[in-house]
Amino acid sequence: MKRFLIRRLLAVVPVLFGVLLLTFALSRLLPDDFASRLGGDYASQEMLADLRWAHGLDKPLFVAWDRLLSGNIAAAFDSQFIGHCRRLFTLDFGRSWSALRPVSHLLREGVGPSLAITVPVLLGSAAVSLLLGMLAAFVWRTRWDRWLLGACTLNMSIPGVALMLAAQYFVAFEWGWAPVHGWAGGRGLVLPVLLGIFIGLGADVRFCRVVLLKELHEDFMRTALAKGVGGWRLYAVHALRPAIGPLLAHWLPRLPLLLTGSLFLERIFGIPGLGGMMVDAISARDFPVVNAMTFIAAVLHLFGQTLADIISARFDPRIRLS
Amino acid sequence: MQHAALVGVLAGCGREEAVSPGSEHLVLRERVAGVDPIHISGLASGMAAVASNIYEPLFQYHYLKRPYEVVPCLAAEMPQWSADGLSCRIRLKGDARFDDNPCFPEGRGRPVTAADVIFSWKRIADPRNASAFWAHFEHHIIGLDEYRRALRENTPEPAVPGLHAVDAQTLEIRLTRPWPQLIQIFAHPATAVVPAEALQIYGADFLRHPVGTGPFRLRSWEPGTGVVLEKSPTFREEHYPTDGAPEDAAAGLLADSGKRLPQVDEVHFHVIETSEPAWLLFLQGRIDHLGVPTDHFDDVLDASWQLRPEWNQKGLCVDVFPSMFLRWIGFNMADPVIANNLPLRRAISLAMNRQEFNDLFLGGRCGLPGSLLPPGMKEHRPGLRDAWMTFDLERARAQRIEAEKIHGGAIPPLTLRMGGTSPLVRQIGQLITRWLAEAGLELHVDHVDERAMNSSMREHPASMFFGDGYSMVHPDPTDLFRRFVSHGDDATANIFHYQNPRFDESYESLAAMPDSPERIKLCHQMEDHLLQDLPCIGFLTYNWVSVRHDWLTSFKPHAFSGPAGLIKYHRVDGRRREQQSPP
Repeated sequence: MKRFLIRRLLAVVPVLFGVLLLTFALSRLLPDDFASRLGGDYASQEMLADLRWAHGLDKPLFVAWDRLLSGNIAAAFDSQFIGHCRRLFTLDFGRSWSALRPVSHLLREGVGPSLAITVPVLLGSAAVSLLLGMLAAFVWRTRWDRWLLGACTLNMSIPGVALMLAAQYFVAFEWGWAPVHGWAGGRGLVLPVLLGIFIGLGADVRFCRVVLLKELHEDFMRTALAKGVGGWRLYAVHALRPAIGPLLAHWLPRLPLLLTGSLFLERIFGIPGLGGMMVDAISARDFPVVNAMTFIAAVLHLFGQTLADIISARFDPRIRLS
Repeated sequence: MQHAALVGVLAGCGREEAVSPGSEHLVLRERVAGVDPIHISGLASGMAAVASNIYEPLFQYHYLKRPYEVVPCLAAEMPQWSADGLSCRIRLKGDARFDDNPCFPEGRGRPVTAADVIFSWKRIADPRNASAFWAHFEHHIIGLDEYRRALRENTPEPAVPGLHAVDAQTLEIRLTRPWPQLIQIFAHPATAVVPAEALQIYGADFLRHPVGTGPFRLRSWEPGTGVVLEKSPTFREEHYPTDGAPEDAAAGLLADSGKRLPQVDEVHFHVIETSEPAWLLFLQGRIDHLGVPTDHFDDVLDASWQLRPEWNQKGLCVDVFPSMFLRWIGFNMADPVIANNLPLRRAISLAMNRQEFNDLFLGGRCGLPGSLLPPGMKEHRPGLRDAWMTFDLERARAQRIEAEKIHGGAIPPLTLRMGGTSPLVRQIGQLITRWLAEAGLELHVDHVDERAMNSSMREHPASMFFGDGYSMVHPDPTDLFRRFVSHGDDATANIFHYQNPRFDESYESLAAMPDSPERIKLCHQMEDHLLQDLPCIGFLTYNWVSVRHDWLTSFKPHAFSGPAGLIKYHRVDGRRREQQSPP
């Protein structure tokens, strides 16, 4: 296990460096001048130069070769890329170019509302889809199975945004069962969370069904049946345990979505989370925010994958971390 | 009736709290992370809406009079100009004071001084603050550019001789050249006065701790969801105007004449980024006033822009007014195919079926321009209908034939640069391509990010461009004509690459002239220059269409204060709101 973790951590370094390089390249090499954007129609060339200076965009991209050659090492590496790496690795993400506040403050403000939506949605959809998947596997090749699959297909066919708008109109506006809009504490969360669970359900139920059916047709299941194991134990213990690996491999890489995965729900129901902030930042080319969010999402993704591997090995004796 | 107006769930505020019946509820269409006047980017922005109710500049626009007229705000009177127009003195109101705040000794606000005004404007000049509003100050005030340069070069701060506090209440401004537009610039909320104490105490968190002189002060800030302002107890005695435009009395806009401002107790800004929830909350009576969403335009208004009867019965009112905005198509006057061929530019203008665009994309709500200066300016000529700013396919074809003679053959394919890549923008591109094809011209469309249009037209210009259009920052013709100047300090916005020495000369005279009939005459001549040379084609003027509940009164839309900038004049009838709102 230790060797596995060390290997994984070592592998994380080049991946994160790649992420840093990619986000930096995207933010600096796009044919778009942030200063012109900020300065507006009347900005003079001198003012544009000042705006670049104020945001550190007048520094060399990677290394100031002239300073390096003249022996001024510290000044040579005072570059945009080194600053970018330093900010992300020290978790000091700098100041948002459009919101004008430290990115860490913005993240702190948005993380609570985002998690308030995404955690119940992620856990709820995992629990419900697992239950329904087991049910579908249980009634395999019966008309109930066909009905369930039909319902899943229908669920997958309805665009999520349309469902959100319809629910907002009927459930909140017409029937008054929930607030139309707004972060009104717990009450305002119920409808978005239920929608979040419902919208992704079709695909997840089908996935769980397939994974469980595959395990149900393995040799060890026949062994279990021969030993007299039956009823719920067959499904909940003997089939579910080896299925945990693929199921976690399906869900854990979604960890980054905890931060950014509820964009439409946030926008439509007025939840002040990080998904909306990310979209605003992309649209405003607010690269300190975009870079910070991308970096955190990459870290969470790597963490999720590692966790999935460890848990799979713990529950499925066929998997060895070595 | 127990209604949510008394104890309401504040949409977007995360908790239930008491809401005064005399409160106004408005929508912000974007998240606002904080307010600092020097970072106000546009008058319709969320930051402008919040900031302009807390902070005040030296001057403001008369709430009711049209054409727009500047009147004192923190200034006690209009500036006293020297004979050469190179300096002026501005006296401050004695009773203008900052709101009580812990940043002051014993938490008590203090009177505004000339030093505060100088401090606030130096913040705009400070390059570390990266204020975009510097573009309006640059090259105008003696010593201020040098001050900026010194801060940039990290050398000792020089004095600014152009900004001088004669005494605590009197400010003297010395200019590098005559600048009569100064009063309009100093009516912009970006020039509002802030106290140095607040910056020292709150530092970077000043954005969330606004301390102003205005009619409201911050009560609560819920990140990403809303902002609540309450009436400032220290606001000086100011009254609702007693005179206005001729039609105002009949519209009931003088009913509150002489009453003390502000008239509402609280202002609730709700951040609602999508139009449908905002509309539903408006129908529930939780929002008092809203721009009509495009999807509901036909449901709410008839062809003559009157409310349909069913909405009238619900107690709604509609406000339609022309915004100071012109959508145009610009030509690259450095492109020899375009620049040397006036008939070609005329052919393109005549091929534009503006009404079809208006009907197809905007529900017919916009106006077709007859000239370049928008209504609402005293220089606007209502009767002017430029002969080329119309749709006439036969004349377009005739002009194209004329253009081909000048060019010496068929006109090569032209390129139209469009800001944005959305399906809507692409559809517009297809429509314009079709129009020009009908006139016998071939057009290729290329797309850039909408906010990168200006830089792309400066650096790699296409034959033509269709961008954001032109929105006036202040109601002076220099704000429009500056975009066509090719020489001098003001020649920074000319993405048309238009060069006309006569026009440049006229601009210099116009920029230095105080308001007078001669100035208006010169302005008309300059507009005629542009209409004759055609570096751009007027495309559409926009009308601002909003609905409000009839409990919100004394409401008059204003182009230079944003939809939410003049709340101090509004009145909310809480009783009527309770009676009419659905439970």
